[in-house]
Amino acid sequence: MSAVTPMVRIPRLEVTGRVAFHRVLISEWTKLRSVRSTKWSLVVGFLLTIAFPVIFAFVTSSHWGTMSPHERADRHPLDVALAGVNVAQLAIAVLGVLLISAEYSTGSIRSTFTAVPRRLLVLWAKILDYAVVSFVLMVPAVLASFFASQAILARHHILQISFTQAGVARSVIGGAVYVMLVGIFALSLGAIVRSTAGGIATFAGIFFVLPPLMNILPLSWNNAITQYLPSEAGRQLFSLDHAAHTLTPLVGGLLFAGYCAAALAIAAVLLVKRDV
Amino acid sequence: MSAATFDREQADAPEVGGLLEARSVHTGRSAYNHLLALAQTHGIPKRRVADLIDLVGLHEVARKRTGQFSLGMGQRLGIAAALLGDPKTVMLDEPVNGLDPEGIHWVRNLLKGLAAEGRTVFVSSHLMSEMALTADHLIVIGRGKLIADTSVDDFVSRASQKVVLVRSPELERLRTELAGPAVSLVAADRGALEVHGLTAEQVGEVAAGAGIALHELTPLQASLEEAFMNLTRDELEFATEMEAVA
Repeated sequence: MSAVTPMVRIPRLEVTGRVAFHRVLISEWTKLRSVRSTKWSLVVGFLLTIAFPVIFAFVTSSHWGTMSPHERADRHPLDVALAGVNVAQLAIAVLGVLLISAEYSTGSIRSTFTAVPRRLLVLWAKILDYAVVSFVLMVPAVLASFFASQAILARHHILQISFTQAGVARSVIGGAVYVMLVGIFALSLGAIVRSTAGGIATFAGIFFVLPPLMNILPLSWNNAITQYLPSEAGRQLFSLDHAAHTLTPLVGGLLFAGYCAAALAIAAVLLVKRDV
Repeated sequence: MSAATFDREQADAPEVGGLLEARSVHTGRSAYNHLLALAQTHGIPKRRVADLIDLVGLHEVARKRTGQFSLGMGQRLGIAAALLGDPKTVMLDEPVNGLDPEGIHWVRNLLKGLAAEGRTVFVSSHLMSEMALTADHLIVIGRGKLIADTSVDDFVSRASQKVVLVRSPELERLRTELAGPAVSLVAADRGALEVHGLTAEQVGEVAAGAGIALHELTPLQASLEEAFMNLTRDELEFATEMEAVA
């Protein structure tokens, strides 16, 4: 039954190794950088972080003369500098969900888990890769937005604040930390719901729908509960002043990190339990 | 599940490489990056990724996004992934699905080549004619039960009934000589006769004994497909599947 045909030769593999975390980390990095959605989301996230404060600073400068003293007192230089963080978080969250949900929608998750049967390694690698990428991207973005907005405001000698003033550097870098944590939270949501639409909707529900919904509650309840919401707790990382019903930056940041850890833990348990 | 390798706890070299489903690829990622990401999980060098892309004939489209691939290109990519880890055992599910004739020929040679290198190649397929050409050994599974586990030749001869085609100028005399309780004779075209129940040797000896000249004496072998149908007729149901080892 064997005709005489030229045989296909498979080149031998001289170097071979076993699955190890650092290898999965490299593999996930390759996957992260090799799809278009990554480039677009990161570019959009980076640009929004800088563009919003710049626009905000220009608008504030040009209207300063006509603003009431009350309005002027209400405007804080850090609110201007970090206005982009609230917008950029959406781009980072969408990409976070996509990084895992797209594996399920395309079926590539089967390749992934066949190559790495210890599934949790994949989850840890994705999280670590994405956390590093989003943090490394956001730190220069928030620094640029701070100094750019300050430079624009300085031309009108208004709303000046020193980077070395207590809490300012923490708030600025805190903005980058917040966005990084949002990415981790969103990636965990994506791993839990395993669908792009579902993951983004869940994220939007928790971060954009839940907070205004609290206004339905009586004020005392609202004040008591709202500060513990993920978005509100996380926001303290990049807020300078603290009202009566807000957590301190440290407590708020730790609580938000706790929410991320909880979401990640649920994702990890489900990843091991469920079939692909 | 097209994938590089399963990694046993103690094994240095990958044991199994499999192509279980061709479309297990991120449609937005290039073929090269897909294979590279799989290779990196096992520390397999980049050079091998390039080698395998050349081997499966995807060189020109290696940088294209796999969403634009045809079924056959996807199949080749899946085979490349299965071979990345240089596995001792290769498992392929319907590897010729969607391939053009040239591609089918290529897969056939590839499977033979892999087997000739001392690897075990498992191929699961519903294409009997393809199995007849490639496989050495058959495993037939129906309703979750093992129906056959034998060589292709044995499988065919076991399932074939004894049928011999004879052609002779003295067909009527041959008919009377051959007639018997366990023998049935069916007239075939142009002076030929199908003899059921006797071997070619038996027919030849009867003819020689009676001094009848024969113009043709051919044992009729069932095709693998017929053999398969015969064997599984009773057990056949929606999910009969055939697995072959080349």
